[in-house]
Amino acid sequence: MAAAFLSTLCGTLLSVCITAMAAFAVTLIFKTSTTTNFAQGSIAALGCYVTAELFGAYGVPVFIGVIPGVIVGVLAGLFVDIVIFRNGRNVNAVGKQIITMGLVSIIFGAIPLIFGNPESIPFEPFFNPQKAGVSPNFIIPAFGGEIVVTKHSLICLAITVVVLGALFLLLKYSKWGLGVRATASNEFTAELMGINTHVITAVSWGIAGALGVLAAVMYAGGGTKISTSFMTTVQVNAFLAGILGGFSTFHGPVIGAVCIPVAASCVGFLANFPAFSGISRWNMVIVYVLMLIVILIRPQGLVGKPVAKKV
Amino acid sequence: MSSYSQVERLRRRVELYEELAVLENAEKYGKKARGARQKLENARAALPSTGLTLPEGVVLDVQGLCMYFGGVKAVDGLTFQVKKGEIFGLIGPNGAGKTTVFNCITQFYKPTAGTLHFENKSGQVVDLNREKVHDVILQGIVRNFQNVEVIRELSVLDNLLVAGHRQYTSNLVQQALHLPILRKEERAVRERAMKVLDFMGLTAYRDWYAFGLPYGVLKKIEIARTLMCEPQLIILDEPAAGLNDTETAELSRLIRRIREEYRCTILLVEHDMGLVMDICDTVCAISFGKLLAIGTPEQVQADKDVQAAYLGGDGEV
Amino acid sequence: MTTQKKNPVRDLMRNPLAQILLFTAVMALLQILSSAGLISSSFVYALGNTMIYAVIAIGFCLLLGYSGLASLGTAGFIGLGAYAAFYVIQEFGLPYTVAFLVTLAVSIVIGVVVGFISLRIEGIYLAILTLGLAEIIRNLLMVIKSTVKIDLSNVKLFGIQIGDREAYFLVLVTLAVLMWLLSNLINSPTGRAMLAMKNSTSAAQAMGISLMKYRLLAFVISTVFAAIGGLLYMMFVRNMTTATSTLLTLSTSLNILGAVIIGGAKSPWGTTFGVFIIYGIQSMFLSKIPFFVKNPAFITMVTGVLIILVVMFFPGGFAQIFAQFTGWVRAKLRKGAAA
Repeated sequence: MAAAFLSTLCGTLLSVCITAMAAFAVTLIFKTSTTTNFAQGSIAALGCYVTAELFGAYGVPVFIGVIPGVIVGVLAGLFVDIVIFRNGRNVNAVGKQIITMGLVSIIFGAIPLIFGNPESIPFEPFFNPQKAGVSPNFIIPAFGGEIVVTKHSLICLAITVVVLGALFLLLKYSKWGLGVRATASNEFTAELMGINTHVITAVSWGIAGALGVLAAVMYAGGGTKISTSFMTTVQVNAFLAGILGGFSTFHGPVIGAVCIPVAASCVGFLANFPAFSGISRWNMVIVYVLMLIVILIRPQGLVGKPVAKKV
Repeated sequence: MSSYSQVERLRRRVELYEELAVLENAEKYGKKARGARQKLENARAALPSTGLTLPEGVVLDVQGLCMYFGGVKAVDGLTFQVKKGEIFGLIGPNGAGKTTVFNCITQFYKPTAGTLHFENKSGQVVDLNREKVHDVILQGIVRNFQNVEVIRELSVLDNLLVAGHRQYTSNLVQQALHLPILRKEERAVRERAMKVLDFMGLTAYRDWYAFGLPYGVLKKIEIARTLMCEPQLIILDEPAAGLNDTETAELSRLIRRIREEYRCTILLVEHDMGLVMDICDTVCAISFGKLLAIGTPEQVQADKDVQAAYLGGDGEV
Repeated sequence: MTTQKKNPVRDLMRNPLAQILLFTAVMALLQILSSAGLISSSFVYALGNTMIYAVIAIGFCLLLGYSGLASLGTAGFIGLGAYAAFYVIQEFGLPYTVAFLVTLAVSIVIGVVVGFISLRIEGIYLAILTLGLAEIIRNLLMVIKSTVKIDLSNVKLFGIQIGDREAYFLVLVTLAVLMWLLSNLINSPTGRAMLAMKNSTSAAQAMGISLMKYRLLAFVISTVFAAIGGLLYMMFVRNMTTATSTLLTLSTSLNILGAVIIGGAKSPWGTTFGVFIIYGIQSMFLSKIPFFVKNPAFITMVTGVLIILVVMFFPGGFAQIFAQFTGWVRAKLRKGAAA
């Protein structure tokens, strides 16, 4: 049983990585532009389509094709900030939120127009075990059973740790990171202190776009069917992770991103016991309700601090 | 047993019928008003005692008020009393914690420690710390804001109607169906708003949208809003900020007129010393959240600590 | 100031009840014309469909335009209403009124619970929590029953057998009644309290307005309207394959949001017009043009562009554009008359 449970946990590795990346991206935007970016998932899907097109039509392997995909993600992010947000007339927080929702509509409409509407889109993980002729899994014998981990999820874990680790270091020690933290605490003051908040927010949007596409490519590489809205669930989880961990810090949402898929798979694991056999269909409902309870008790999130409002 | 909000509802009903009796000159409302008044008296008698008392003539008693934000002690053990019907000025250098005191009284902040006792419209002494921020107005405390918070999407008249929000007793269904009771209330509150506009000299702006009106007018609208619900205590946060000398002089006359006309107590924070010394009966000076001096304007003006706080040493104010 | 001449027709047209009655009369006439064979029945069907979305959108109008809150859970609540209709009417064979009451009760309960939790934090979180909720509801409904279908042959309302025509009138009357209730609320202390809250939370609180009460109220009303929309959808269209239908996906929530923004978030009539732009034009006219039949996504894209442009440059939506335009025309006319 223990081995089976550990296998289940390892099975969530990929979605933990993806959710963590998306959650970090969402938080970055939330802190620098004071809005929730609902287009996070659709920008990611757009970039992933580019990679998939390069793979399907021209045979470019995904670990190379991901680069143009990420570039498209960065450009889309920059477009939102530089072209849309900066030209709107006194757009407030809810207005920005709605703009990103409008963006979702545009991308949802644009993807079928650009890439057509095929039944299924061919894709491969970064490391294609079929081409290399090896097993896609690592099998570790333990606790009188076997723990199964896919190689793809380990590769993704490595990428996530490196990328997010680098970003956290940048936030802490680089000039850009200081700018982000200053902008997050008060955009106007930051500007007065000589920080170019325009550059800070633009770079943040670019990074958020890149993270999104990277997460989408990892997700699709894990075998999920690509579609216009295939990142919606990830994005929803990323937002929920943000609320669960608390948007007031950068690490809170990442912690939340670990909690949600793990909690979901733990609930799903209960289905192995006869008493809970029907539980799997209620899986997300239970996690959602658990999360609501946490928020009810700690509105500021698991690691967040309550904010006093100035009147 | 009855609750204070029930009493307030009944009181509002009595007022409504009385106002309608005047407006329509109809005896049926007079009769209804008397019936409602009887009910009100009964409910008032049934109010549970809060067990709190205030010395004779005191309307607000602040004892040992503390408000800490993390390590910052914005208000630290402040004690003062406001007497009924006086104009009370709270002064102090920037960052002394004046606005924080106001925010504590109106429950925008829950004080870290200390008591706030207040004699409400029904003559009952209540502990303000037990009130929710949106229920403070029911007790008779209204306030304005330092940075003008007028509802820009509403006309000036509607801004006053919003201020009269708690004057309405009709419920959601009555409002959704626009039943006669709502229309009558609407008429009575509108009438009252017109009177306030007239009193403030704002009648000309009645149908204007607040968006884009001059600053002086916006400040007046804020004060007008405080007059919509028979205030017992009006709290004004820097009413003269941003006004020129003529407007300030007009403001000091206006504040006096408000006290005479509405028979209320006024508590204000102001940096314009001329205005404070001119109109206040009592002045309380604070610095770094602590009391420096309290007394008549002359006494406070002569106080050494106050002079030191303002000028950073000894000297004259 | 000059006193304007009394114009009884214009005064009447400014009365919300008169506007609603006129609207109802026109819509009813179109149905009668179609029964007489003068208008194609597919046009009237599309009209009925559009009115269902209008029901949903005007509820959203109160939430967004008056309370300044955005929700992305609309589709989920539509699903609740649709499934409530299916189970009550089809599975349990109970009358329409029971289905209506059940829809009302379910949507109020879920609205209160979700609203109470998400509105305690910042208002901006509402969109996130409702987005999550809608996704979960959709997945859950899909697992519970993938296709719902209602057979109306035994369903009566007030003794009248419900057919295509009756269903159209049911939708029309519901829309008219809800529109009336909503415009009453908007023009009452409740509507003003919500606007106050949207503009300045501190001022609203100081004036005795409980933020929680009115935010929750707006959210629950929009939830109820969406659920009624789902119920009407089942009465009018009668079947839905949850897995393939886009009704319960995020795109419906976004389209409703788009309709409200484009039409003008503070005006129920503007919103109705917005629904017409997003759903009506598509189903009544564009569905006859091959390009749009082949590329339905193009319309989604145009919706998105419109949303962004309106938020950027015309926060009041088409209602504002229309008001500015009529003001401009009137000024021109007055100048012409004076010259």
